[in-house]
Amino acid sequence: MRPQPVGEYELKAAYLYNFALLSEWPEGALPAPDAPLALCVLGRNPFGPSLAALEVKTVHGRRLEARQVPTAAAARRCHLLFIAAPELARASEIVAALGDAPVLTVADSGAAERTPAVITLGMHGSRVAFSVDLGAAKRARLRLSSRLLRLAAGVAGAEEAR
Amino acid sequence: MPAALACAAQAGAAARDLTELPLEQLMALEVTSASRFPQRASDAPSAVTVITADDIRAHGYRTLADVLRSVRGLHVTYDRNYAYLGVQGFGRTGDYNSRVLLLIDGVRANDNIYDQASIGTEFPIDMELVDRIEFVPGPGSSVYGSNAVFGVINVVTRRGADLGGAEATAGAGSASTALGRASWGGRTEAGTDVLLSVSGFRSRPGELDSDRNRQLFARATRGPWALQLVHGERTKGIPTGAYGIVPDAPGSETTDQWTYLNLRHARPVREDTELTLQLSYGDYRYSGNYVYDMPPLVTNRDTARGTWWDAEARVVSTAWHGHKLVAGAQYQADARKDQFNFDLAPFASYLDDRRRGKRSGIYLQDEIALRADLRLNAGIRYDQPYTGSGVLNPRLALIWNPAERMVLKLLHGNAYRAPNAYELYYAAPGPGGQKGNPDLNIERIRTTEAVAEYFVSPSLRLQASAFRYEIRDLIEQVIDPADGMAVFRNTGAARSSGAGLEIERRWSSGARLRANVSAQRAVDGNGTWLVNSPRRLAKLAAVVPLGGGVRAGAELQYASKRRTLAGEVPGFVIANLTVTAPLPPRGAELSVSLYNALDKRYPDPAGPEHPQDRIEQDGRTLLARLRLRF
Repeated sequence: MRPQPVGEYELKAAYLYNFALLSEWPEGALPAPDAPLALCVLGRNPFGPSLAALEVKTVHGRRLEARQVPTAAAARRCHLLFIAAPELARASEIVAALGDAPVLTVADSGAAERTPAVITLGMHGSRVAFSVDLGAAKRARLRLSSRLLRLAAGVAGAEEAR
Repeated sequence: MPAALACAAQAGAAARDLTELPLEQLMALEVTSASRFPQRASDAPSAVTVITADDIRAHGYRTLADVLRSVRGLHVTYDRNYAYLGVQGFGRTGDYNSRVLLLIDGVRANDNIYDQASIGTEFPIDMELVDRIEFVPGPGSSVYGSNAVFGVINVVTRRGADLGGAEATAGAGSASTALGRASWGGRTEAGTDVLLSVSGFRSRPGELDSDRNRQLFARATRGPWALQLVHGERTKGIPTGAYGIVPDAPGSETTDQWTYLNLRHARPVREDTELTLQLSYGDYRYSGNYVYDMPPLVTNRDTARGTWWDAEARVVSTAWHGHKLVAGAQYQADARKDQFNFDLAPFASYLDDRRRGKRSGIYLQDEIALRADLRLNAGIRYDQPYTGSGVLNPRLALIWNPAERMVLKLLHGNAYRAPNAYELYYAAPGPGGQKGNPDLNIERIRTTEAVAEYFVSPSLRLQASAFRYEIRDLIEQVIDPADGMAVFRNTGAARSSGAGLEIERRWSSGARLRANVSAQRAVDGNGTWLVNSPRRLAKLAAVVPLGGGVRAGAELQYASKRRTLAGEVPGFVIANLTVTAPLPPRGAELSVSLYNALDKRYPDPAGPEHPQDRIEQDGRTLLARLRLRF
């Protein structure tokens, strides 16, 4: 059977889940052993119910929790922050406001251009592709798995990360 | 929540499947359906409209009625007391929205005396607490039972985590309008999501035209459990001299008070099966003071009190390959459905009617993947109403993807409305009075609808639909020639056919546009054009970023002329404009709205209880709101 038609953001929600699986947060980013992993959206939530549907999943033995955050300051408590496309213009400002907070930033970009986020999610034709910025990952004290880097369409900031 | 049946759960289930795939496989998947739109409504077997929290803010929608005015095929009539929803040409004056089902987070909100869906300032939830509103047109009785005749409105509220702190709104505007809201929401480390909010509003467009409400919302969610409390009370002056009261004497007003309490338990029993158990309590109190000149001036009080318990169990399962099954059972017990009418001083009682009741229903729906590109959605519900014999309502929908970006849906279904306590038992003695009719039967509707949806690109959506419906045994108020008393009888019939077109476009800048037109022809059993039935409706809503975070939300709404009980009211176009600007400190926002910006003077048709045939609507109104986040 041909796969069911896939919605762009249903697919992107599955990507977020995989990004969380393939990343490691520094010790102390998740204090309590049963604390959930917060999956946040800054700006309009384009996922519809697909994001909340991730809440049945676990990553590194922790529950996922979907949140919508109003400001970058509020996002410091997130583990993964999805920066919705309409907020892209403010992406530098948002990433700057996060400072060294261990937040895996994922920017939603139409074309796969570079953004200040750790991961930039874009469309490559009708497929979803992503690029990674190791410098940004280092500043957030995150370790990305080699499998993630291998699948990325582009890896930037390798020198900076060394 | 049952609304998930329609659309949300399907998208959710698909997303769960996708996460089973390794990243390597995800990368090979092609995106075929467009989802720059907030919700993938394409799976629902109908032409669903979704209005999001962002739309509500951008357009400054104050009430549910404001939101519904922007939806294709809907029109709202206001008689300066209640707001009435017209759907696809059916908007008879004097109906308390009993032919649409209103859900709050998936739970029935229509009361158990008038079956009314409150959509004006009497609706008990602040629009700023809403995450999204879905309007699902067409028959919904195969899942929801009574009242889902023309459509289902589901109001989905925000979660505590969405607020992530405290929010406050203060507003002031013309017609002595003032409003305020204070909310707090968040999620604790332990995973308890809490949302608390209070709101208040007052306005006085005319000496007797006062309007004020107070609202409370509280919810706590933890793991599979959710407990929610909604309360609202609204008092409205009656400036029209309705029901023969003294038109210019103060003291005539109605108070409507709603309380809903809901406990829900939802959990997966297997990987592919979810069970939801839910217990709800509803309380509705209406009290109307009507000042009559006997002489002397006498205040007559008309009141009603409805209390009900509702228990529901539902299972959604994808355990069988190619099937998505939904099965449920619902039981409602009405502890009270009481109606009273009396004069305050000197005291004289005219009506003291106390009732109890119970009703129940079971339903089953299956969505079957016939082929990769063709699905059949079949549902049926059996109801045992309060009075009379059981009723069966089926619905059948075919959903076909002939091409990657195109969805065609064909829907045929039945729905019904059971007579309510007011129609069955309300009586007011004396000449020109009213009498009850306990022998009333249910009224039925049969609907056929075709929908075509085409995603030209991920940011451009086109939708076309055509419908036809027939209602029989329509409950309407007639005068019994034997005694001159008004009484409800199953004498009416109505039918309507029409078509609609909608275009929605989004730009990466954040700009968006939604425009729709609809045409319908609704007539009664004799072929006579229905009262308050516009033949053409057109709506346009645009949001444009102006730079620096400032946004403008503009709307144009057109309705063609409508027949009234005695004549006609002309068509009109009104424009609404809202400008929203961010303010320091971060998260603060100023919003200024001009409703009916061109100050168009237009009337709505009046119901039979009013002495006038047409009721003037608000001219230009200004409202400024300041929103703060802490």
